[in-house]
Amino acid sequence: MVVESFPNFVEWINSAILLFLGIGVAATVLGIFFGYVVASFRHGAFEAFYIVAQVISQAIPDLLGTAPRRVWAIARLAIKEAMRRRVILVTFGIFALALLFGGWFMNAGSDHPDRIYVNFVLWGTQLLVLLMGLLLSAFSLPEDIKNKTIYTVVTKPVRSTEIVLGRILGFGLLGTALLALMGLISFMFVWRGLSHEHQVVGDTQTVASLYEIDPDTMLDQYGKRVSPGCIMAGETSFDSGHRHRIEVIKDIRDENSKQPQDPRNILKTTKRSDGKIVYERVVVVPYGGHSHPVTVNGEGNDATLTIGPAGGYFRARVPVYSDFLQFHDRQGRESSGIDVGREWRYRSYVDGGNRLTQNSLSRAMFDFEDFNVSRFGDRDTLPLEMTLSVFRTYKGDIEKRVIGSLQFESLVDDDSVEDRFIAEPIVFETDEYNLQVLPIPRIQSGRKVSPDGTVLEEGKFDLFKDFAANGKIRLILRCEDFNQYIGVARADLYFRATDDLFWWNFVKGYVGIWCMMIIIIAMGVALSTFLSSPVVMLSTLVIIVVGFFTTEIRKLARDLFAGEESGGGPIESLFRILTQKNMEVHLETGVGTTLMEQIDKGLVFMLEKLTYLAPDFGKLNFSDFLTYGYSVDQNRMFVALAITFGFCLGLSILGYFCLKTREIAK
Amino acid sequence: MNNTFARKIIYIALIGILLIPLSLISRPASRAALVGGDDEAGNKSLAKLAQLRDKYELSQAKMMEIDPASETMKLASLGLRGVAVNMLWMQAIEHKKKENWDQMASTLNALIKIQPNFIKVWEYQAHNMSYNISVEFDDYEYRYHWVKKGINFLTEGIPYNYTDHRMTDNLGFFSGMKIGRSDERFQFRRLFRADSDFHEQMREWVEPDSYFTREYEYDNWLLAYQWYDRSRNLVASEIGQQHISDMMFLRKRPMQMINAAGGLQDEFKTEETIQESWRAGGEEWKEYGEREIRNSQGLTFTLESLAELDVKLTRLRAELDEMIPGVRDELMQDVKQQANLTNSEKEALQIPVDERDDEQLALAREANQRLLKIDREIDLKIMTFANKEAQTGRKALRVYEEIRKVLDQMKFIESYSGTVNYQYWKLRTITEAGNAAAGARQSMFDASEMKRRSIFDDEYLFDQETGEKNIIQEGAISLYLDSFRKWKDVLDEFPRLYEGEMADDITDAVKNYYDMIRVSGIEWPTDFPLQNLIDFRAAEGTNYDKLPTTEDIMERESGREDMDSPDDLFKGAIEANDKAKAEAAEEETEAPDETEDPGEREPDTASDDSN
Repeated sequence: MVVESFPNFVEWINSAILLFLGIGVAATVLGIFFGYVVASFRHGAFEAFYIVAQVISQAIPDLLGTAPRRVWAIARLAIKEAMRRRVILVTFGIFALALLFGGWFMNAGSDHPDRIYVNFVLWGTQLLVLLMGLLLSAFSLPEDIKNKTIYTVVTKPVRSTEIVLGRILGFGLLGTALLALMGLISFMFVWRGLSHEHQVVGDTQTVASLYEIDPDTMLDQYGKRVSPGCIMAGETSFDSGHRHRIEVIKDIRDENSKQPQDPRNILKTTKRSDGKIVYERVVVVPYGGHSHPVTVNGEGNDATLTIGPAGGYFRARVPVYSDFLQFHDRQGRESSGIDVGREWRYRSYVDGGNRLTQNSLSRAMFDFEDFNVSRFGDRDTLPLEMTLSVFRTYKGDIEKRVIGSLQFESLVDDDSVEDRFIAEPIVFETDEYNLQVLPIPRIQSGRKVSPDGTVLEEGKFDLFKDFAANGKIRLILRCEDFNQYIGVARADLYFRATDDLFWWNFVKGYVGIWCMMIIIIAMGVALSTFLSSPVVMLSTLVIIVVGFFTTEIRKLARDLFAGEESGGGPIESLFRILTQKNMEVHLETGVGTTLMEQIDKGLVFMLEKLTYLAPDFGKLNFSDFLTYGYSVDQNRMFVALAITFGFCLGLSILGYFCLKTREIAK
Repeated sequence: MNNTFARKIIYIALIGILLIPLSLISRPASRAALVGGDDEAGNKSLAKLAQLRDKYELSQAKMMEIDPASETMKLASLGLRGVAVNMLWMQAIEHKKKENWDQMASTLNALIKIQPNFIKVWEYQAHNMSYNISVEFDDYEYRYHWVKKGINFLTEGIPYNYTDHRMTDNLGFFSGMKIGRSDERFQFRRLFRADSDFHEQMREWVEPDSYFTREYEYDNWLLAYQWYDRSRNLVASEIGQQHISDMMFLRKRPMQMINAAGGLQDEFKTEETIQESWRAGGEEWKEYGEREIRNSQGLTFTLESLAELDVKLTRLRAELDEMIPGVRDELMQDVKQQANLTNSEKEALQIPVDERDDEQLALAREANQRLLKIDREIDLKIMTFANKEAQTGRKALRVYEEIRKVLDQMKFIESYSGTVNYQYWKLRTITEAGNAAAGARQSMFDASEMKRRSIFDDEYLFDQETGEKNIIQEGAISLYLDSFRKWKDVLDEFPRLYEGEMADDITDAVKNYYDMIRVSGIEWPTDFPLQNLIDFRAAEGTNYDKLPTTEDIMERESGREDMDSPDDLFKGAIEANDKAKAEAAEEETEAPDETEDPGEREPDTASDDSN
């Protein structure tokens, strides 16, 4: 999964509070100024001063005196009103229709149907819920004002804060209930859509249906490579757009080491003369991120094989990412990694050297600063997961994948005085674009080295007790093939600490949608206190669009400001369109061009700052986490909730003042 | 109030008026056809939308042909289909950029549902999957998986565009070229052969048995053949319109059969089945040559008619010569002078084609081109002489006109024939189906297998008594040489094959041979069987591997002769040895305790150097 930012709530909140306060102060000053100007036109400059002062002075008791009871009463009213308007019903109807016919648009033969399903329900829910929130909030107050039904409320002893908050709460509750229902149905839809079973292909559902694998070729009957240690293979039936390979794997273990996790799939157990135990296990090779458990009954060729339901789709991995990633170039200098010329620069590459530079020092170093046994539990092996990219500069051996290696190293606080542990490299075959799981033995062969490089001790060392005695460890990734490259980003390599509960992660994903919905409702309510319904809809829609593309807009604005984007800002673009000059044509230098560029810079600067007024939905969108099966971490959740709270607070205050200045609320 | 009412009435009336032309142009084509009589034509012309739908094959008229998913998507875009399409295209591009392949495939799935009748979209996106995305993967199994995805994607487009042969043409192209011509072709074809799921999926369109080769199972080239066959049938049955020229359209199907034979030959020992494939390819190719082809100007011809025209030309010239006997020979003498042929060109022309070396071949070709131009002039001159005679005058003019016409036709067909390399492939299929080439291929295959196993030299038992070597197993070097001898016979018989793919294959083998003998320290043989081929390629500028030419060998040999004596040859070494001796003697005087006398090694050192 692509992760471009790793937020830390504590660090984030400090800057967020500052930004919030800055916007608050600016809004207050602007509000007072505009309020005064408007009041001056209506009542004269002198009286305007008193009016503004009066509004401000009333705001404090209004805000402090807001009674939850009255807020709740308004909320109930808002719920009743919304129910009467049947927006909820229509939204749910569309959602139900989408799920009923959603199967038409699902690609059954997709390599990862789980991703398609989860993405579909999340995207659909998000779209519908946001639209519903927009419709509910945008039409409520203006309709009331238009129909004069608002007077039945404002004539009661309620404060403007209570009207605004009540509506936000009412619509929010209704939306939450609908979202919960949609979430539950979506969960069932995904579950039902993905569940499937297979049979063993052959005359019988026994081992006799499997065939032997030639150890020289290690290819199955389709010409595909089988797993290391595979002695027999077969296949499952073709269901849900795919089939799996069944393999009998020879699993050789020391006498004292643990037995295989799942004893049900053991076909045969033999003890070798050297004391090692050989387990012949029947496994279903994963396809598209899922597999099936196998139960073996009986012995030999007559042993029956029962393939269980699909498992592995519903995961919520808890990854332990490195805290820092540093690349080194071929000469060993710190660098940002090699750019192999791909358009997307998410990953940087390490090279495997060439015949001239055989010992390339190019490597990617992942530093983990909280590498403690408590995070992983007391295990013999640590699951390391990777999604790597490969870049070949020449064809090489087509039958072989590019080889990489991983090496652990101590990350000492002071390398001039402390001894270090260096492990033997673990060589592996890459599997580009696929999630590779490498079980890393906790005990690693390696050496203890003094600061001057002298080897003090060679042997086996514990990753936690020896390597990461100070809680820090370094993992080095290298490419081991000449003239080939391995690409990696920080989120591409991590230890899988444990798994979260899938349903709980699903809830967290929906919390993200909920946050978006609440912000939209708050925005709709706040804007509807002084704008008409169509204008509210339009402006909220614009904010939604900006919210979804905040990162892109900011990047564009920054690039334009720095002059790194061709074509210039809005004025220059318009000029180019009118004069039919393409983006790359150099404009003649002169006063006009300079003026145009400077105005553009000013506009672009403003554009960038204005994006901070719209919520960054990218921070609230957890779809990718659910789609790719990763747990939404606490930091992201807190950030999302804090953003929601901040917007609700700001928009409520805005709504209050706007409503207060309208005649109806007086 | 009255104003409002009047306005409403006007609006309703306007809507009513607009509905009239709308209803006329929207009426179904079948209804228009039902009207019949004189009125039929008029009504048909009014059913414009139906006609346009039919013309551009945009109507899924039968209920079975309506794809609910596609129609729902179109409806859901609420008339903003263009916007939706643009957004999905951008999304697909973004997914591709971010290497998000699953999402990209999913986006394409949605995208194609809202523009299912746009052939270029199918072509472009299928190409994207089979070519662009597949190569992004490091593992060839995934590459193959994405190649198949592209093919499957295209098959989904057939129901929407069942009359368009470009869909089936693309399927043929992807099935053939992508699987059979990629760098990973051996791996792809291996996977293809065993891919029963894919063959099962294909069953909906092509019966898997139809692309099954005896002994070698499923063949991608034969699948491509079947797709092109569908294209031909579509056009032949006039269901679909032909979008490319006859020449290229008709060539595709037979070419697959030839490719199938070539593919098998690259992977297996040539034997009966593969020779049969070549024969089948040859028959298909001949059938292509016999088919009437219409060019863009509407002229029709067959590629095979070139031979007939050649016969006709000879007959006509003989007829012309009969009128003024002996003139042609006389004129030919002059012509050769006029053509300013050099002595070496004349000599080259004297030598039979098969015996010409590369240089002579090039010279003869150059000379012939000039002579051919003048050949026409001879015809004209003979005709002019004959024209003066009252008896033969009119007849000579008629024969000359016919000769001119035949020559024009020949030139015209030759240019088309050259475009598709017709003669080459014709000759190639005949050659490869023959036993001589099959034997050569077999030795070449055996040699490459030996090379793969790193067995370069022969394994033999040496009989001490007789001093004979009994070869147990021939190594790659011997086997290659054996195949080159066989190839020489083939090329001597068909010198036209000095150029083209077959010569490339042989040259690759020669390169392998050259690499091996260099490793083994063996000298390039002076009587190398395919020296002519190498020299020819060097003359053509295609000796990219820098294989030794006759010139190189002569240089090497003359270099040897120039060497004066062994003493001179090893002069440097002897001098170095003397110097070493002197130094050692000095050391000896400085360190008398040294046990080993360097002087004692002198003969050994000298003999080592001389060896």
